[in-house]
Amino acid sequence: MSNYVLQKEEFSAFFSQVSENYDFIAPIKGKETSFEKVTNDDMLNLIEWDELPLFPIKHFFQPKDEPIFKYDKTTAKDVNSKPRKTVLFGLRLCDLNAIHHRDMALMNEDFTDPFYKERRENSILIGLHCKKGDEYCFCGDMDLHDFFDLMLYEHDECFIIETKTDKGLKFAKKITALDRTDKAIHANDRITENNTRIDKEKMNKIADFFTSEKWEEGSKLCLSCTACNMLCPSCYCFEFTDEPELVLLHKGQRMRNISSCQLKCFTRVAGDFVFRKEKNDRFKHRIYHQLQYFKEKHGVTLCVGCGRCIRGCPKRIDWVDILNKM
Amino acid sequence: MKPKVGVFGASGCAGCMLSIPFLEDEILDIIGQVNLLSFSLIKGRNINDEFDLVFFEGVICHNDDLEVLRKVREKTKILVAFGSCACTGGIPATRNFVDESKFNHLRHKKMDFIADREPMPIDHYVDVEYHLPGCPPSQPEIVRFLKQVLLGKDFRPFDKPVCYECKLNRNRCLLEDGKICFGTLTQGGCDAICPNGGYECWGCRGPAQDVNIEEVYTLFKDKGIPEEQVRNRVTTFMGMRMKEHDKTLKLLRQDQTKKQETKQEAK
Amino acid sequence: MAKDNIYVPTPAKIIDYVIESGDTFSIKLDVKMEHDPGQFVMCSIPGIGESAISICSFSRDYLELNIREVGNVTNAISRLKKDDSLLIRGPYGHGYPMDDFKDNSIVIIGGGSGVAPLKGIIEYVDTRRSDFKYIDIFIGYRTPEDILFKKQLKSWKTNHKVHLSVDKNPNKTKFDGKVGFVTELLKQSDFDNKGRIAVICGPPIMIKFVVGILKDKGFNEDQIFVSAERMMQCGVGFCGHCMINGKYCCKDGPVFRYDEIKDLPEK
Repeated sequence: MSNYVLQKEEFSAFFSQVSENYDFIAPIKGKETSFEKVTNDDMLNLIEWDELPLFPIKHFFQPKDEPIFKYDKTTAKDVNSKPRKTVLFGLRLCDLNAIHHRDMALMNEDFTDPFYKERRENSILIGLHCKKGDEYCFCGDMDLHDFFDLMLYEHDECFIIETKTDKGLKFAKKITALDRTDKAIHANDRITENNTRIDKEKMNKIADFFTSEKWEEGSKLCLSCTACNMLCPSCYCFEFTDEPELVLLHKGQRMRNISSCQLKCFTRVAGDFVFRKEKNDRFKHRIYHQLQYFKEKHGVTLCVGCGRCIRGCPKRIDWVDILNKM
Repeated sequence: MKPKVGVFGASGCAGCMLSIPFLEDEILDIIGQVNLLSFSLIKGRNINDEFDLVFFEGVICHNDDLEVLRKVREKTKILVAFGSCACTGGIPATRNFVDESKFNHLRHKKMDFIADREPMPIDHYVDVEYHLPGCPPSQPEIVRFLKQVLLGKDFRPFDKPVCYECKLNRNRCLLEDGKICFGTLTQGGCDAICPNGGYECWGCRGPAQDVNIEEVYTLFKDKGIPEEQVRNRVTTFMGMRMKEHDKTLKLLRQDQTKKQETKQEAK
Repeated sequence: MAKDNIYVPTPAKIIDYVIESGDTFSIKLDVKMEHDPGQFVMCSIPGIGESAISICSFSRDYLELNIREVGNVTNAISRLKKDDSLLIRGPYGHGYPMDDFKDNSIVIIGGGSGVAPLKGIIEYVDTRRSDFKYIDIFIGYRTPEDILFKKQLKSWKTNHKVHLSVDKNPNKTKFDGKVGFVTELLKQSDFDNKGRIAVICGPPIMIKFVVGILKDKGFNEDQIFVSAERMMQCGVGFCGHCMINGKYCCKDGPVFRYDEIKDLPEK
């Protein structure tokens, strides 16, 4: 597919053209970098171009307190939500692959999560090539694929933009700030430095280590704060709660929120029985879901190697290191 | 039949009680849903009847408190420990971790008719159906609780730590800035209101379900914060609840309750 | 919204309500739903929540659920009456592969509320009796007071071989069975694995012992079918709560062929 070019000085024009029809979400520097909606030109100066944002784009697809349906006594009615068209800008390859994995998990031949599907259909994924990994990430080990609508590669004065999908191409054609170019994306452009650290052989044999006591080294440090789950771009487990109205108690909404497998309540059933009582079991469950269980079902690891679960852990529990030492 | 509701307090600042009338958007609806028999903070005529639901604020730190509590308990179906003091002993219970000599000079010398006791959470003396912790309790949680009780549902305390909601709100982790934040230790449900404002969590809601206090001490030690300082802060709100998790937490038993009782008997 | 929201349940009217034992009851719902024995539905009580309940009947005309009062949702369902409605969605999960069982004999082993999904198999067999050979039913309860489906038990006894046991009989109640564990009855009975399928549903500890006994009798692992229980929220394999290592209990199960899950550490 054809490539496009965006001059850096044109970026503001690009933004204003996009924001005519789309919400524009980009990694914004603040006390902590996270993906936020850009509402004015000034915010463009706060876009994080270099480092991986600590907070992933997850909240866009899986928002806090998301209404699932409305109920009234004994009837249930769909909520009327129409997601706005959105451009998700500045996603790194790890974030993009996490979305790809989420597609596999939440849209399969039997069932489709309707809310996720709608948001996905109404969003355009614009990647930003990540030139240098940090001390915790290991995306180079994780067989990530080119999964995006558009991808930006930074050059001195401009960005060369690769299009991957028809959706991306159609979008690029409409934005006049983007010009067609014959320039190709070179192999050099695609390189990300310092992004390998996991022992791939060990990772592929992880099933053999399930009973290993070495996992205790990590789990005994765990504070059960759930940061690893909350910062993981691909973790997708959720739970429902009913929120009745105060005056008309028989009316209300069923809400959805993100769950955390690192807590006892995750597997608690009626009668207060907990299936994964031990912290070590819960610690292992997250890692094994990421590296083994998801792969058994979908052929790829759920983990995309962004290292956020280690970078965001208060104790910096480095499970990659523990695995490498197996 | 609307449930008969009362709001009572032992020793405390009445801040928790106040958070009920301060539910500005919901208070009128709540009043419509219940039969508010007794709430001396906002009502003139209070009826002492049998209650379906009582919110009980404050810590038990002298005999009058205990008397009020026991009387309320007898007449109440659902008793709710309301706020940090009632749930964990709160700030008054910090005294249980400090040597008496350090605060003796602060006592009201002329008021020794007050039969002083070690400050204790209310479930130390009576059975409590539910706890709504917080200093003051989270207002959305009060409403959530009321709705569930009105629906006849068993209210379950929020089962995730403060960090869960803090991360949902995409706050910068205060631990990274070297602040003594107890988000990892503390039961959530407050929407991480303090960290949202950049202020560290002091643990006013008591310990979370999964607590790893030893590693929290090492965490702060590695950041150069002395263990003593961290432990003092643990005792500020959740000392009485942290005892079973933290063997290093020394509770100074002072036998003063006994002393006071013998004193009174002698009189 | 132009979409199929799989999470929206539909109303179902209760057309019959039977109290089975002290804490267990059965409801019959006016729902025509095609399903396999062993599948489950998600039952909602608005405002209270949602719970996975296994289907215990086999009929194209109605749906029967057997429910024990153990939590918020089941307690709320127990408060409903005939002609009330609740919300259901489903059926979900893999039930018993009855087509594969064709022309075989079936040994049915159930304990406590685990008998409920097995009742579906018995009713399935009764609709096409000539497709199957011998049906042996082993069911165990804690006490005679806990015996479920007393009404159906009579017809089971006329059509099949029923072995009933209770763990103990403290009130010396009269009942048609033995005192002792159901595993003992199984051990004593005389059959081998030829042309036989065994299905087990009950507490994990019972499943463990029963599988051992069946293996002693020569059963292969692919002749044994077991049911698993986990916390479920979505029912469709998304939410992750029901994972048994890599298997989703709600989508890959709740009925598993024993060789599929025997190597899972968390089974």
